[in-house]
Amino acid sequence: MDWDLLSDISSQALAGAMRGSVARHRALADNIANVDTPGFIRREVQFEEALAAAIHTARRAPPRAPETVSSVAVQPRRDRSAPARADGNNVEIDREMVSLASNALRFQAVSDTLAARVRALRLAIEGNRR
Amino acid sequence: MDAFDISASGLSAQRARLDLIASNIANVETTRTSEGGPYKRLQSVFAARANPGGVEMIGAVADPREPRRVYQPGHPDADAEGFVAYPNVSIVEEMVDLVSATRSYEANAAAFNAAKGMAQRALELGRA
Repeated sequence: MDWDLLSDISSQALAGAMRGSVARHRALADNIANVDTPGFIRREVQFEEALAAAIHTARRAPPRAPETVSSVAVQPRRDRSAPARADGNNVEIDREMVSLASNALRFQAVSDTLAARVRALRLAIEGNRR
Repeated sequence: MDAFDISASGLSAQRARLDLIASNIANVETTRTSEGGPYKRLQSVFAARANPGGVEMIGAVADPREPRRVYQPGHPDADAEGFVAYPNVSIVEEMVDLVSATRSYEANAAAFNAAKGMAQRALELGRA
């Protein structure tokens, strides 16, 4: 048993989702910054499926479980599927802004959940002595 | 966090572009410049930064289009045929560009604010 307080699968999964959201935000901010750069191909980060698969694997193979989850890659990939404009740029600003807002909300939801776990841990350590 | 730097690069590139547009609009009737001849429209050239990402304005390039020729024989800068060479600036084009640059600036500001919100949330984890 690992006594590191936040190294359980759920906490690592939440941390992984936060890392993924930050990487996605970075890619979206880059797309938005380059909305007027000719020839720029947008980038995107997809990590949910890989993270879900890692959580699934971790639940079945406990010994190195948290590492399986925390090592999920969140690298951005070029997205050539979106149609390009005449200048070769395929950033669509409305789409990027919608993704930006929904990504920030997901991050909020995940960090609130992790904060609740931290609060529960603190309660377990300190007891209810206010 | 890189995201702040990326959004800041977008803000400064769009601001530099707005400066060029302002210069073009201000000089729409300028017939004399230090290099001689009418003012030439300047256009911004953007390039993506490799690391850590973001954008930069790599130059302001003069628009190669011909000057506008207006028949004004009384004008001190009129040529032998009475035509004055005015800048190759179209005010309509500049206004369209101005709106586009402003919107892009706002988009980068929104991205910056979103990054700030996320960073604040992450900091609050320690205070939970």
